[in-house]
Amino acid sequence: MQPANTIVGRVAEFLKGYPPFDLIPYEELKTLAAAVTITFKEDDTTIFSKGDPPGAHFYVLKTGCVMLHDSDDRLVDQCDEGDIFGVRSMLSGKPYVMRAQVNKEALVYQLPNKVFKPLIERYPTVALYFASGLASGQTVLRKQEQEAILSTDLPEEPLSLNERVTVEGKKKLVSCSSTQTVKEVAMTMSEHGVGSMIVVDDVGAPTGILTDTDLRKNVATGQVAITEPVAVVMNSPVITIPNGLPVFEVILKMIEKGVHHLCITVDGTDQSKAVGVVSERDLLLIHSNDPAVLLKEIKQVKDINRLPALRDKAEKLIKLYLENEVSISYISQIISAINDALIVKAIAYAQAKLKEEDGQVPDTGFCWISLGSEGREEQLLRTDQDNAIIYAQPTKGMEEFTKSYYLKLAEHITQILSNCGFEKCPADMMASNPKWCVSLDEWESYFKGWVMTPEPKALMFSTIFFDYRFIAGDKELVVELDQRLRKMMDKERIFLNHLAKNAILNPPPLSFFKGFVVERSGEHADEFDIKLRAMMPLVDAARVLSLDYGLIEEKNTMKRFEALKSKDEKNAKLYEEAAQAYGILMRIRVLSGLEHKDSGRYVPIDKLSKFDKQRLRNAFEPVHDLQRLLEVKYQLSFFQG
Amino acid sequence: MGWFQDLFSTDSRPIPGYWGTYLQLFNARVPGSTPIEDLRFVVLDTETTGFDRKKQILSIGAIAVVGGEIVLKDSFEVLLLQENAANSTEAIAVHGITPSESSSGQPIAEVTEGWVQYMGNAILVAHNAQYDIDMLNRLIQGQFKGKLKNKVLDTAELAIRLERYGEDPSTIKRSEYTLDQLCERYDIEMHDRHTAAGDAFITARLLVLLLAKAKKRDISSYSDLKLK
Repeated sequence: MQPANTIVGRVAEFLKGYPPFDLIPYEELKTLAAAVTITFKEDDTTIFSKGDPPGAHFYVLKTGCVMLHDSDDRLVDQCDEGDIFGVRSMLSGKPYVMRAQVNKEALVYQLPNKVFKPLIERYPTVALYFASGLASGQTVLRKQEQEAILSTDLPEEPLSLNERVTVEGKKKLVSCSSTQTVKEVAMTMSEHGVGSMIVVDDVGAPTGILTDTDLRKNVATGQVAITEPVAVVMNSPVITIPNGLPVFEVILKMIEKGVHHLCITVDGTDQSKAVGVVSERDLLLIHSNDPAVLLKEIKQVKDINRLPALRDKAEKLIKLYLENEVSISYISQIISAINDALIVKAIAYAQAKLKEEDGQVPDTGFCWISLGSEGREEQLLRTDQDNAIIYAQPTKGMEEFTKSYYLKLAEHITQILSNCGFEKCPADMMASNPKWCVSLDEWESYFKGWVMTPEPKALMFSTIFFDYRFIAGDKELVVELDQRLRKMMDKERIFLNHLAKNAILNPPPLSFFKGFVVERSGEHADEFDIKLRAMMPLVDAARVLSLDYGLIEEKNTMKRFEALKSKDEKNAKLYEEAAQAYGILMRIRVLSGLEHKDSGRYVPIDKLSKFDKQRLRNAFEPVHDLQRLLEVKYQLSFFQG
Repeated sequence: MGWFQDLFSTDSRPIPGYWGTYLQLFNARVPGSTPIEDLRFVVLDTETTGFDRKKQILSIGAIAVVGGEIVLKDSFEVLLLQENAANSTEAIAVHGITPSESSSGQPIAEVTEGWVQYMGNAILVAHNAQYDIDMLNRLIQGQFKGKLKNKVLDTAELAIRLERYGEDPSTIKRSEYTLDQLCERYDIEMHDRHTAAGDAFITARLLVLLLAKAKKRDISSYSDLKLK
């Protein structure tokens, strides 16, 4: 007798809702489900203890709550519906290293190892799931998360290439007959503002095409008289395509035939009526999801009022990339490049405008720097502006003019950026603030002030200003500032202790349970501040460590960790994990922000998928370890900051 | 059907061989001290045509609980061939088994044999068990003279015993002990409700929960269950 199909199906259905079972084909899952046994455990029951020999099965929690404690009896994780536990022992065949205790009456599904293990071997993604340590209490095994989650390359085919080339029904094709003169046709073309003309026979089928290039090459040079029929200069035959082909096929056709225009006909052959014409330029517009195209458009834009629309396009690009799981470091580089190009454009525009207005320009240079998250190239969503100007020491007597000129310049630039959706900083940390538009020497004295007197406000400024990044102007000014700061760091080591102390103020939580954040103390909270509790601790740790190791030029958090690996080899693994964790946190924050149309800072735990909750929880571990590292390295328990 | 009638009935229908084997399973008495973990329970549910006197079984679903664990491998689900099922519209609305489905089910003799072999001498468990036991007996008696010998555990009664110990039975409302009410109280999901296997699975989850609670109250052996 076969086991009851309804019951097996019900259990398989439940498993399917949770990773890694969702990676297993349904038929296989039913075989697994048919081997399940189910038990009910009262409060405080111990399911397994440290040192117990490995069981014949591992566990999936159906209802209730199970706590996992490590050998020091520290709470390691709290499992709720769909969580897997007892996995380490299942995988290793060694005794349990943790204790699993029922906290709230639990219905537990027991999955036999004998049936499950062949599935791990058969489905590499399942193996990878366990290898990445996503199952509960498995954090000790965490590793290679990157392989599982981040693909470093762009999707091979940007989605835009799958869009289709169609003729809009309303737009009538402008065409001519082969007997019309070149002059007549050229006049019709300029009248309709088109760059090409399809030549048709009496049934409307295309016999040739005439383009601007043909007119320029053959007629304007005098080789063909304007009184000649177009048949003399037109290109024939015309390459034809049917309506509605995907963009990439159309591009391939153009490349294959070596042409820049294709004619769309009713049935796709040159024997039927011509209905439209598609040029390479048309395709470029469709294909504008390409970041390179977008970047080029920004660089070449003439009308400054077009910038906001272009920046909106970039936002769509981010979403597309995130949906396609493009690596976060790649996305942030692209977005930084786009933002930088936009700022450069705004600067050039503002300079031209000032020149037009009163003509006088200071004889000493300046540079524009981005600060905070934009300085770190970590701004995926548009947030407030944080920027500043460093100008070279003005020549004597020019001090006042120089300052007022750069302030005026900054005023224009910040306004353009504001029009592009980068709101002005409420704390006025912008180049248009007289305080943040100063000479190199003044900047040095600012930094010196913060370093020598590290009171809370100074530390707050440090976390923003130390992450400055050159955008445009005289790069030498930034190089010089780097050098002066490196010297400062060598001398004022105590500042690093203060900065480190500041970096451990907000420890990450332990885990999540249902819609709650579980603190290391075991307490619950229902709101999760991903910025304060996970991202800032990583950013702050990366900053203090790279300042310590003289990595002044490195601003990006992931790159800072990357660079730290070779400076402090014994902690290389932790830095690697920290960089990966940061990528995951950025992704979750930006997706949450896009979804809820906010900064993404407060992540609604109950709306996260199980998989994201697990990723997030695993990202806490390196944060925790890194804070311990700072504590030891800077002796923070003894340090009265 | 009392013993008196049984004694004088002139039922000449042949008794199948498996029935003899089944009866032999009850020759050995189960010691009252047998721990509950060592017993096999078969939790079952039946879906039937209407609620009139001529009602027939349309489907049987069951799953075993052994050692306090629901064992998916040890389960049973069958749709019976009931060609002339006097199936009322109201009943169809509850269990969703249409006459055409009934006509594609398994032949009754085959089902009965399969069921008797599956159930063996397990303790039969159902919610308001008497109804299902009556229906199973009717199924058997439609073919030959025989009556189930299994001990029966009613989850509704077990729940009342655990929750209302020592209370005057007349003050207890049965409406608080329906399967739906209990599932809600104990947070048991009610998927596939009103399919025989679905209800059996739900009842099995209720049983493991009740047995765990019973254990805390020192109800831990066969005799402690006070089975009928």
